[in-house]
Amino acid sequence: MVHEDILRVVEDVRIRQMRGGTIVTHAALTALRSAAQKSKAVSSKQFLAEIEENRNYLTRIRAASIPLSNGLRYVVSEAQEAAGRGTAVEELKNVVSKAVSTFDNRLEESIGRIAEIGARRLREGDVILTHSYSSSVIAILRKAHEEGKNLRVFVTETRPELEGRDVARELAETGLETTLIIDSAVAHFVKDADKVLVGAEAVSANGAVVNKIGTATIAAVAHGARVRVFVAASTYKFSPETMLGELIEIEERDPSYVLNNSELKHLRGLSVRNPAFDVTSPEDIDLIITERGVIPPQAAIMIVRERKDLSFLPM
Amino acid sequence: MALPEEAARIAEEIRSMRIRGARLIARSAVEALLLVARDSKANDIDTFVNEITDAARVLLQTRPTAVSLSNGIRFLMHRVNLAKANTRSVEHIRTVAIQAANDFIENTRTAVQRIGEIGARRIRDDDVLLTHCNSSAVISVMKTAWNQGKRFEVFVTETRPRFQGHLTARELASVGIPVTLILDDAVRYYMQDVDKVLVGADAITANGALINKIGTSMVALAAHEAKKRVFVVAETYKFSPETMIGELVRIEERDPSEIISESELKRLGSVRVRNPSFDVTPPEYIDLIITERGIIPPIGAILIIEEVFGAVTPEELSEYQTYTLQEQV
Repeated sequence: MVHEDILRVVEDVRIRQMRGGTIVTHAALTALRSAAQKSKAVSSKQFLAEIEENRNYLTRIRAASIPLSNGLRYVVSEAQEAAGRGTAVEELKNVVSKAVSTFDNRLEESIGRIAEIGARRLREGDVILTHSYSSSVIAILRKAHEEGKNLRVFVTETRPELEGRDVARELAETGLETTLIIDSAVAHFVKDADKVLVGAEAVSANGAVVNKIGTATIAAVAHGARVRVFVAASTYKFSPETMLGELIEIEERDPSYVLNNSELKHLRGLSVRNPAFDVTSPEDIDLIITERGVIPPQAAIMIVRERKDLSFLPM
Repeated sequence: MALPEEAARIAEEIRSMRIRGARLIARSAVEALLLVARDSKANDIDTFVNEITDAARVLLQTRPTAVSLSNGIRFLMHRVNLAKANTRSVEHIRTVAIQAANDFIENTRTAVQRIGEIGARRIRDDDVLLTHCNSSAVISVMKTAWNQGKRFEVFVTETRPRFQGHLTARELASVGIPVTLILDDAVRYYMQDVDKVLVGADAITANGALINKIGTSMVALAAHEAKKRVFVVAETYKFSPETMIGELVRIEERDPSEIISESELKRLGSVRVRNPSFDVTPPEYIDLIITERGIIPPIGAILIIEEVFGAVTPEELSEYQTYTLQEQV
């Protein structure tokens, strides 16, 4: 039986009350911890079975989100390892709790580091263009602003869920000069931009970046206009599976985000497709800003290989 | 100078926007010139040409922002001025003016259908087509091909902010064409599955660049990158002679409320909104332009302009003003 806390976070993610892979990961791990605390399991075997079921459920909320799967895997493997040592259920709950905090902290620290490193890449007077919601991107822009750099930012509204409005509001509150545009207007404004700065849902071993639908076009437009493309991504977003030839699954979301059901009925005889993410080629990316430093996309493989050594990413 | 009554009425209707839409504006202005030519009492050729030229000036002022208006007038004046060099007969030049007006008017009536016939030859069975926004010429091509028994499918972008893609999707689906509606952002995602991109035009410049609904240039880039064909479907009165002398077509920015409601915008604090209606697709991303006079590569745009509207001289610029492209709502 999947715990109600798990169901709630799944529903919240489904109805888009949460933005960005980092925030979704945090919410999912918190729910996993909460469900574990409330577990009535009488044996460590039963406890593990429950937590694995919850994990499987949470993984599905966003198949493309690598920090989510990395985080879940880390927590579960810590619990499995402790159970293997004969740890009792009550103690296993602490293990889960600690593992969630550890991963959460690492993720949060990584964003702080990314903000510092990324802000160094921005110059006084830069015009930045961004797409969709990324905690790392917002952190970089805030940091650069705090350092006294005057930046102007173009933010796409990001159809169909319009999370760009939240980004624009948060940046404007920080004091940045922010302009909201439609996604289709990127080519029109790209010549006014100095840098494109986007987050990532996942980074594959060849340096390709999976991010919100539309990112690939923006990167291609920027590349063609000789505008630099920076991707802000913690190393928790790098996907070890892609080293083994695994493809990152792109989720297709409900057509009603594109066209509400009454309109859909009105437009008879046609189908609607709504992929949530696309893949930006490494050739269109200049740099990936990670908490370990700035790397060209071709060096993604190094990060993935390093990550392989970590216990929470069993290959 | 005062226009003949009927011509003055047409000018007023264009000015007050009772006559609207690119095609109708151009057709009506040329009809007004036709009336001036027909009813002129001039005894010598210079007086006749001056009367027509004066009327043309008045008409140009009615909607200085419309590309089609100045093109209709140019089309007629170009032929009158050519004839003037070769004849001293008022009746001859009157015939030329009336003939030119009738040709132009006839063309505005039949162009879309002829484009449909020419363009349909480029569509094959099992093609996957993609279009952006709502172009009657593009729809004409697709419907003609479908009625010829060709079987294909079409991706249609929703086309933010005003969702004209919904109109296109509905019209194509109504004749049975399989249509898939996608986000503007999803164009690149699906481009691997696409064979040909067909888009309309708001204007085509002398170097073969396309000015069309915002987002078109990104669609064309994605196609070009994936080595897919990009066809622009455009009546010749969409070509812009003014760009021959380096004039830029200005692009209208429309009200932010098309993108975000006022109350929602208020919630965003100091955020500004910008909402340009059109963008510019460079000729490198365009394979062909399908016109009612045949198919040309974008580099051939200059030939169409010279042939149809005549060469433009810098002196003319004060008369034929630079227009701002505006969306017909």
